[in-house]
Amino acid sequence: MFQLLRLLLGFSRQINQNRNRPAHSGQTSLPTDIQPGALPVDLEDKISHLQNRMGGSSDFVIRKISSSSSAGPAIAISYIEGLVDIHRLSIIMEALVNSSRNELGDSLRAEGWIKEHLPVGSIHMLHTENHLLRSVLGGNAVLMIDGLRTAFSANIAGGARRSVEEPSSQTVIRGPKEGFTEDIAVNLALLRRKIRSPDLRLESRILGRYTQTQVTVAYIKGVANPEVVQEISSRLDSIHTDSILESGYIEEFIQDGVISPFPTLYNTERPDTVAGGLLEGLVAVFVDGTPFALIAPVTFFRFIASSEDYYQRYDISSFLRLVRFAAFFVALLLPAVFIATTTFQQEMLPTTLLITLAAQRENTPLPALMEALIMELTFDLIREAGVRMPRAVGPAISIVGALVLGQAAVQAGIVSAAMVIVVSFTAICNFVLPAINMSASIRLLRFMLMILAGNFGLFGILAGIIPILLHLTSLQSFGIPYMMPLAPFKFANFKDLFFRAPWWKMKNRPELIGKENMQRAADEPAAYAEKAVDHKRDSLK
Amino acid sequence: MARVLLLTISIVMMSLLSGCWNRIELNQLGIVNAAGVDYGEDGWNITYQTIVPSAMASGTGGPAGNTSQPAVHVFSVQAKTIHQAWNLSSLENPRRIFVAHNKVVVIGKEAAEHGISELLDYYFRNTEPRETVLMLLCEGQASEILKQLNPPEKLPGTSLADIVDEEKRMLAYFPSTNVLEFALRMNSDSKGAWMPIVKLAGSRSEHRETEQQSLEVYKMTSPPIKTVLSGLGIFQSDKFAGYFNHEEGLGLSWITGRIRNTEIPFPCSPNAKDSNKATFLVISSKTKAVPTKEDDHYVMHLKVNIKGNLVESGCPLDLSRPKVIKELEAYLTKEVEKTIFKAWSGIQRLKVDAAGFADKVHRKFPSDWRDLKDRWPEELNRMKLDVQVQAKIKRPGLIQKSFDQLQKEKETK
Repeated sequence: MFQLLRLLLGFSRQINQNRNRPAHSGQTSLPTDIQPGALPVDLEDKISHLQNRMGGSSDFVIRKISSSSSAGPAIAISYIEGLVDIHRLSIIMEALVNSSRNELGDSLRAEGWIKEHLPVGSIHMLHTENHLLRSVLGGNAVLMIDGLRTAFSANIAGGARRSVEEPSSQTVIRGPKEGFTEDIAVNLALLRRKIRSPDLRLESRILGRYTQTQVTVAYIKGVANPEVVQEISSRLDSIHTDSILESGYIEEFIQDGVISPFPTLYNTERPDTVAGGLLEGLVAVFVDGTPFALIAPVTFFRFIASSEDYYQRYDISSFLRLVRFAAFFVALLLPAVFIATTTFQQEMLPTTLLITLAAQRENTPLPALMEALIMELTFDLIREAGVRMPRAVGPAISIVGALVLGQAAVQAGIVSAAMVIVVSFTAICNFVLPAINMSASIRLLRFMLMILAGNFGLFGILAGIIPILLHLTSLQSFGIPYMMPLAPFKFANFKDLFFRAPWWKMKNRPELIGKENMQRAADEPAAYAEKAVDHKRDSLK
Repeated sequence: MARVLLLTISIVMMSLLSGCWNRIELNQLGIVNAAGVDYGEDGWNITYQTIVPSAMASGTGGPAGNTSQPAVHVFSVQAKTIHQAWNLSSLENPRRIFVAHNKVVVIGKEAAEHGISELLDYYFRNTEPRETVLMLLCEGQASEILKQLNPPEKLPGTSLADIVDEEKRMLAYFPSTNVLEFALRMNSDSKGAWMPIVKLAGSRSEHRETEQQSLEVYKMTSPPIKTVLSGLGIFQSDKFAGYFNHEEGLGLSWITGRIRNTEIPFPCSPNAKDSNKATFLVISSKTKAVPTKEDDHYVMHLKVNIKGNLVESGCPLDLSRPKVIKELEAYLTKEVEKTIFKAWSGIQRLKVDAAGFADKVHRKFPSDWRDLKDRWPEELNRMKLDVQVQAKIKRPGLIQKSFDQLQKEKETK
């Protein structure tokens, strides 16, 4: 509410301009890297150096390996317990123990030897202590050899990970049931499985001084707007922070309007949603350690749509979309309109309804505004309790919520039955919206509108809606107007807005979002194939 | 930033400290269902029914919907002006009077004779009262009508309004009028307006009237006193001018084209004494009135188009023959013409242009109107009415011959 009022005052623009690059100013001195340093030659030196650097952490393991034949230099392997795959580690160990190490004397031959003898996919040469540590902390096993200034990393990352499961926050009836996991490699693989094209580009970077989190930007070259890709990359590069624990960190750093209740990035744990977005020309941001990927740029209407809209038949999904639009308005306005009409504009109600409502209000002690605020807050409390509480006490909460707060409160005459109906209907409508972050922002706005309605009636609601609309139309997501295609008006994009046109009617990607290679379907295969070839030639240049 | 925060806080506080402006909760409202306006030597006497919501709804929260108290309470206030009367009612009514949901306003005979332009002014000057309120005239005091309960409806005011609506839809004997229509008609060139008359029918006695005013009446199968529509009151400008009976009322409905559905019983032979009758149910009708000028007077040409079904026939006629249907249509036409001329004679009797012919003449002959304006009542008297009715029987019904005729045919065989 505060944010919106601030908007009302017209401060948003200035503030927006001031914070677009939050981390750029002042913080440039923060080092993102561990200080570089060359590795010592002696193995014992190396080991003690590393032990020292790791502070003797108990999960940091350095194991010296003696060979069966005594010839050759001493070897040590270091890794972090739990980050590596024990099975593959033992295979490496076995290989090291059983082979002769005569060739390990100099670094050039050593690399060849290791690649030859170790049954591991990727092996890298490490030159600095810095790289070595990062490699170890990234889940690699690092091989250190006495007498060499270099070390070798073998990627045997593994350990306990959650497997691919059905997404818990965005379920569908029809559509793929797999969801992202906390492992970025798995997530990217899930995406690759959806889009098997060399044009799917993944650009990774490490963010977070302490967490060293991998953040990957994904887009389809030739479909995504290069300016947007550039913009997202540069915004990501300007993040200087200690930690990235979830994509929410990234979202707040790179979003456009900071003083806005509306989200300008879409988050999802569904690979098909990300794939669909990329194919429309959007850019996705993956963050290691969270199943939630971000998509940008997005418009307001993406938060009303569900990925299932594209899998159901178009008539059904069009209807469901209209239902969701209705739910959006109900969730935003119903309590406010109820308060306004029952306390100010009673003439707006049909007589019989007015009498029924008046009868229920006969003995209620609180004014309608307070009643509504209390019930809304109560609902939010129950909801919050439902999310946080241990599973075992779930039924207790629902009994308390439904029976005590609903039925008993009405029977005791503390709240009117109509108010309970309004609040619960609003709550249901709120959950109809597929995007949780959008429904959360609606909740905030609803409170603001309720207070306005309680003070000024329908005029108050209008006084609340106008700034919201002004804000929505001025908001942008990475250069794309938030209310597109309504404002600016793009008739071509209406095919996938209030209704979803059948797939064979949606031959082009939405305007402004996808910039190059607008065509995504054609009547004649020949014309379409030619186009694709053309585009491939372009991308080669 | 601090400045922004300060401003925000002050705006929020401004809105919260305003004390909810002119908020009024539902349980502080006295919802008026019907109002009555009487006029006497002491000024206006306003009677109104306020709804008792808890007696109406069976919702939880309040006491359950029961019949331990009537759904309305009636208050009467005496005041110099109408608006003052509403405010003076706070002397005896704990609730804020809320007239936006008023359904019907009943005007007492004396008030109608005094003139009701003050009432109309009240309706049009203020935002709360609605111009869609139905208007009714009553023979005596409006307050008497309002005190009566109308079983089986709980709200007498709504019941009255529903009766008017239903009558308008089914019969159109007494064309209904709301405040807006009345004011428009009253201020038109013809200055003629009307409203249905409501009266208490039944043998009245003090005991019965008390009964009618209490819940006792809900325990009877047939209440001794009923509120019925009984006629049409014709107004010259805002003052009462005279009565129309139901035939004249129906004729007025034909002339003004306000018929939606109505029943026309008509004889099915040229011999008027013949007791055999058929009933025609009008399903659509259209009236067109075009004035022309002839020598020294005007002629109003009325073209009435009627379509409908035969819903009852006591005639010994074979309805399967088109000729018979044509014949019946001719009788029907005659019947409607008769009704229309009844209304016409009523108009000439009262010398009130209730049909709104003045506006038609004004529109057709704008240049003549300047002269006509002052002597319109005489001109109206000299006016001739030319009525052309076209009746069409769309469906004679599922059976063709009447049972009478079938009987006779059997006997002759």
